[in-house]
Amino acid sequence: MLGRAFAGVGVALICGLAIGFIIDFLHLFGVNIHERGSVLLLIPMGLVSWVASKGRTGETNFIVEIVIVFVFLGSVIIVAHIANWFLWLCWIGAYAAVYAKPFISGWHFVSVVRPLEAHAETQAALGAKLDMDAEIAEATLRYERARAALEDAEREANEAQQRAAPHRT
Amino acid sequence: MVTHLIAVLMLITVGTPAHAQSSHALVLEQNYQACSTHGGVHWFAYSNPIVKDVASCRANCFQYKVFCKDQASFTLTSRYDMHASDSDIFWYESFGALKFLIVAVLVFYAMVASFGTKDPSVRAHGAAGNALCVALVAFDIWTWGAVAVGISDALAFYSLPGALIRYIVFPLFAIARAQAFLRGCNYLFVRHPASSIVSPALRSQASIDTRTLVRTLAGGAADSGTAPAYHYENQTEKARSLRDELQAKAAAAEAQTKIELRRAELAEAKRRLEEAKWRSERKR
Repeated sequence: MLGRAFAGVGVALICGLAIGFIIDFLHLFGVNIHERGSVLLLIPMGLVSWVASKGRTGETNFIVEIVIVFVFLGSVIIVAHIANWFLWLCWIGAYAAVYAKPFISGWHFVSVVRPLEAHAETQAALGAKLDMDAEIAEATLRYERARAALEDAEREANEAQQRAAPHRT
Repeated sequence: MVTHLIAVLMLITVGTPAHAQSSHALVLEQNYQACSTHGGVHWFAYSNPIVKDVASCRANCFQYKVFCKDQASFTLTSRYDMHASDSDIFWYESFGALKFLIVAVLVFYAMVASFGTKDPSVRAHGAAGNALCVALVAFDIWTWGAVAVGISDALAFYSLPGALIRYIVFPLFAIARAQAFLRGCNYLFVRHPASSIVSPALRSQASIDTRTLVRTLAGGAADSGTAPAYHYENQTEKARSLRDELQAKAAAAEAQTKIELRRAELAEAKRRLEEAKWRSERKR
């Protein structure tokens, strides 16, 4: 978990640097792109990616997912600069094509399936705990019987030793 | 012990900042006064220590140059390096106690989180990761306030990795291990309800209060599962160890019973032998 988080942050930093380099590169050709808070889109886009990752049938590659999010982020910065409605439409279409279906099934998983799974997991854990409590009760009975038997045996042994003591009168 | 710690913390956090702030404010005031007739302060630079031991020096330890807006310049002295901010001075003057307290809290957090790793097979890896993060953050904390006594090349180089540790490693560590910390707290500090009844009896070899035990276990059976799953997993683990302890004690008692029965049989046989001897001696 911690290792994955560090890897994710590392990849995000590299992607951020790449976007910065692209903006600087375009600046060389007279295209001056001014980023005005589009980076904040990372938060909703990250949430959408996370939900969509739950809706895919196969395993979602964490690193690839971060790269995809940054590709969409970089493209939205450029599209926002050009401000052409057709490009906006293309961007929204591409984003929907990639995320719409997995997001819907992922949302179903997050809002319906996962709570039920968590409930089932809790109930299974509670069941195991109750089984173990029952075993404590059984072990207590065994212990109490053994303790009572030991007391009887000790008393019997003491009495037998007293009887065996030499008393020739 | 805890009261002392709180007292030290209060002294440091309440007492020192006022002093730290005043020493920085004094330097700013000094700069302002020097340039008051020259159009105000333009910038200042070339801060160098003028004493060998800046740690024990109490006043005029550094000298620096102030440039006023009309190009006039003055060489002034200060207690700390001119680049030191209020927080640098505060951390330098806090004598390490607060730093030690922060590191102690971090170590506690990491240790508890290690106990809360969900998969026991990766517990060692988790603990190693936690230790690494704590070591990095502790190193960063150790450097806090070092600027107050001069910026060395190493310290200037460290500013980027230091910022990465402070603003990326530490928040990630704290967030990623939060759930493990909660699980660990539950594992370490929440006892199984039966253990307070069973364990003292096992220690003193006394009889277990079975009525209270039954009531306690029945109370647990009425639980509808409102606590998180890890609570029940931890309780199961504790119940298992309690059961194993009970069974081990019962097995020991059973073995001891057998020994006592053999002793009784032996004593009985000895008595019969003595009796037979006595009878034969009497016949002779």
